[in-house]
Amino acid sequence: MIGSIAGPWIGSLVWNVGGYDLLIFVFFVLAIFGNVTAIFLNKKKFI
Amino acid sequence: MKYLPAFLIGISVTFCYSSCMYLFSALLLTWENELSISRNNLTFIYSLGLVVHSLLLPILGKFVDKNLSFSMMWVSPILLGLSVIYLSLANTYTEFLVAWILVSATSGGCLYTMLFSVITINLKSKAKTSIAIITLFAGFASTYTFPTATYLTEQYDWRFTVFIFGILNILISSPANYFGFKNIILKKFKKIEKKTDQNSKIKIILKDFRFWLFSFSLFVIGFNIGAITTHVIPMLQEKGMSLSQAVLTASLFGPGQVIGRILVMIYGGDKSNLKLFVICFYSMVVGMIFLYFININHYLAFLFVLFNSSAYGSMAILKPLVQNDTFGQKKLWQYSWYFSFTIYDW
Repeated sequence: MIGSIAGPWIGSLVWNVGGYDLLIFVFFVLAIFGNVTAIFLNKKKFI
Repeated sequence: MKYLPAFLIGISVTFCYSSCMYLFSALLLTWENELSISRNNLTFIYSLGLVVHSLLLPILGKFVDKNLSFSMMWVSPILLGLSVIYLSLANTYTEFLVAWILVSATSGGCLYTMLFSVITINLKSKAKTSIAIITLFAGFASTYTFPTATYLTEQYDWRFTVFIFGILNILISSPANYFGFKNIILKKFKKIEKKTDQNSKIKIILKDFRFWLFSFSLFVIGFNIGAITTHVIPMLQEKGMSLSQAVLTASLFGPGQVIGRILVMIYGGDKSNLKLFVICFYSMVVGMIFLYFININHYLAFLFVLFNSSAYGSMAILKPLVQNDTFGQKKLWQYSWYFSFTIYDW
């Protein structure tokens, strides 16, 4: 729920700074961060 | 007809989602221009509305526990309709803020969260088919909202558009919910006892890295959908599409979601829910790559919708299943407000 709450407003703030391309880029960064964390935790046997 | 109640509820929820979700996206640019409220402020109001909506969910859950769900189901669309009509009268920032908060708050009783909770309690094993029918209907909310709102606003004005959407909630959603739920809500209600070892379960879950990773993935998906749905029209226009092309693309979100759900139903039966969920996540990422390059070729918009919306539509079904497989709790969100914010409803 936090994501859908933050999405619309943060989306506007990001758009103000660098347009919608930056917003798409932010999504990629978040997705990559999640994947890297998951791989790291998996390798260290935390999950 | 065996599934008539599900059809009626599906029609009702379609109009409810139109008013409290897609109508905002369809009219964002119009409000920005005509009310002179900045896009930041408008989207802040939308986000604030979602906060109020989430805070109300556990309270509405108590209505369900007290077997007051039938009244809630048909009164809520009336209140939503009245709030939407009030929105059509807004002139200032404060009036708009109050009206939209009311829209978000009153929609709490007639959207998926409460509907599925009531249906699951009352229909038990038969609930799955009814939920599938309802989601197939409601998937078309965007298909109906974007062209209708754009057409009405171009022909008349945004106030008339919003007024019509509010009237439809009162005249269609409420009666549809009334007759839909009339025969499925049990009169004899078995009160659900809360388990006493609740706190220890929460502590165990909070120490589990999988919970935080799952929450983070839901955050990213929610962020994606929240930002894309709200900004889709100006975003596609920024990519060089005309208003009509942007509206056409946005109206395909619904069919995209339905395609995803059908694919999961047909091909996902023998596969792990978690694997399907991960595939859907990457499908969403691929969809975003297509969105990034829409300015090069506008036809990429179709691939963006296909990958992004079908993934979102599928994940809506898969999320509770993955949650159940991983944490063994079907209704984790009911344990605390914390879970309702992190896990539930994206």
